Amino acid sequence: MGMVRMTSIELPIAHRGILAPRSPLRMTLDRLMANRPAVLGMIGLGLFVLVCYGTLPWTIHSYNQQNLNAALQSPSWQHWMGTDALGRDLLSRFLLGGAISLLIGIFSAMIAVGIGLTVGLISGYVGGRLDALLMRAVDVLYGLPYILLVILLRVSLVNRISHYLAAIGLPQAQGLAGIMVLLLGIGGVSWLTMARVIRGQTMSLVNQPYVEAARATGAGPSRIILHHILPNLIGSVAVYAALTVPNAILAESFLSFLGLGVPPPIPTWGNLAASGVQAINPIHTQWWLITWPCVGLTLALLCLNFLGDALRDALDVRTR
Amino acid sequence: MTTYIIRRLLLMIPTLLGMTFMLFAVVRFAPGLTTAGGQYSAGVMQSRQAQKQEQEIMERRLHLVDKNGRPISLPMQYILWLKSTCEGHLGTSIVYQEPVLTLIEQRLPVTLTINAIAMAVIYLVSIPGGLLTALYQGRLLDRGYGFMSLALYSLPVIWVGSTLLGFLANPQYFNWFPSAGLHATNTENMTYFRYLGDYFYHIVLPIVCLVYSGFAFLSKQIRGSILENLQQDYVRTARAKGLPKSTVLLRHVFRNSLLNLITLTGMSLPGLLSGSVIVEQIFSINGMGRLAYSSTLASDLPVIQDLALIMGVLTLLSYLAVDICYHIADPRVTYD
Repeated sequence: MGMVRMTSIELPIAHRGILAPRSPLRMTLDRLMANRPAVLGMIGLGLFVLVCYGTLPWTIHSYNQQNLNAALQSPSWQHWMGTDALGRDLLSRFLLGGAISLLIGIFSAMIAVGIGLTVGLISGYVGGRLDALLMRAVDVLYGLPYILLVILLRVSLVNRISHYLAAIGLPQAQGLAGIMVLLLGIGGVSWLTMARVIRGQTMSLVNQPYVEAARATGAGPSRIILHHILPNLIGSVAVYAALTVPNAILAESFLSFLGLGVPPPIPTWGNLAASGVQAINPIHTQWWLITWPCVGLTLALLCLNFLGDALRDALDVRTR
Repeated sequence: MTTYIIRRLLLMIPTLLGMTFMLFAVVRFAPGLTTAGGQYSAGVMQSRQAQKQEQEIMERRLHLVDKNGRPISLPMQYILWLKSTCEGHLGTSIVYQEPVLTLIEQRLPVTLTINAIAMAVIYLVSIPGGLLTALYQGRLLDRGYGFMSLALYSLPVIWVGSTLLGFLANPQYFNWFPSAGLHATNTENMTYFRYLGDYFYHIVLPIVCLVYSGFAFLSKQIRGSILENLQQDYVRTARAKGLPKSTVLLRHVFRNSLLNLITLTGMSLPGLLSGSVIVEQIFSINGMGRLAYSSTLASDLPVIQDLALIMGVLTLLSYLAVDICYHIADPRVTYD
């Protein structure tokens, strides 16, 4: 047998990479790169991040500069995207808004993954009474209408947090408090599905022979969870996180439309679009106020969704 | 099966208790929610005496104070609210001055019909879509459909809704559709079919807004489960014994893929009841979503509490219904 393996025919093939073992990460990346929309999504997202965050030093100063003489101007060489009702340059508001929207998406996803992963892991690993208790809690939150929870959280927390922030001496306390509660609300509601999925997978992983073997060699619960279970969950966590980011950005735009998003002077794509919607009226159509933020929002969501979708395909066992 | 249903119903009790507790906590911690409602009481020009009296009646109704006007402690408030809810006494809205149950009776049918129609449209497109994309996996149709449905999913509904409203229901551009509400003003002169036609004419734009983003997820799920079933042994057997391709696909693969659909449908049932706040808001439709939204903004405490509770109960019941349907559709699944 040993002789057969050493034959000169097999080696070159292995070197060409056909038979060479590939790590799961490598395989996933290869599949991702073969997916054209996903690559486009990554490029688009990279561009967005570069432009929105690269211009941050300028936009952070100019986003709230009012010039009432130049109110509601359509796009021109001076103001590439036009100006809003207070004469503020829409381009700088758009760029800063994009940066904040992306941050909201990423932070909400992080909160959702953090809570969902912890609850799911504990529930699935420990099982028994604790599992039943945690899953009942998830059921409770699932049963209550999501929008109501977010609204109530907002109503009950914004003023408290902004008082606290103002007491520390932070500028824009109201706005920051609004963003924090928004993150808490969106992230705090999005972890439920995550927790259920992780719990189910953990329960099936715990019964795998290799986990038993690890336990037999004397590994403690923390070692088993961190070294044996968690690495197997990374796929679903990545997919779920990638799909939560666009959902959170979209949720922010909904809430802004309802007047429950980030408070006014701070721009996000959601509240720019929402205030643009209110600017639609039959007499003066200020198309630029709604078009730019919505185009930005749509393109970013498109990139994120393509990426998330491709990631799901790349990690999905079924379509392999 | 009966014991299973009874056990599930009993298991709902702790979940429901948790829900009420959660609701109570969030609502009571919201500053102003328990007091601000008073300013909406019916009469505007009232003597101070009458105002005070009304405030007191309201506070008693909300179990904030007892018969003698003394404040009640928080835990006791919770228990009293729970007790009166269990006895079937739902609250009375402060803003509308009507029982919450009446409000829900008015709005639930509105939301339910629109969402049911929207869901039917989504399924009518997504099921053939999922089937075809699975059959033509990796081909132009598959990729094109996937791209289009995901692109539609990425469009924010506030943009689509307000643009449709601004261009298709606007005398300045195309005055094709009505811009608000569900009925024309002269409905009482209409025959039944005219009335129905008028209704459908009014819901076209809202339905479009509810539908367009729903294709991506559902089609993808159906495609996935059909692809999974296509690789099963029984498909090979069916083909080997010479069944025509269409029979294999429709009678064997498709029917088995429908199982997955039951779960998905069940998960979307609660959304059917709560409605879409955004679409109802854009098109001025008085449904459940708008009721929940406006009463939260107006601090209408009884409506918020009872609405959320009823939705919670309906959600739990719909999950139970899914499990029962699943059992009926697939006898292999047992719950013992």
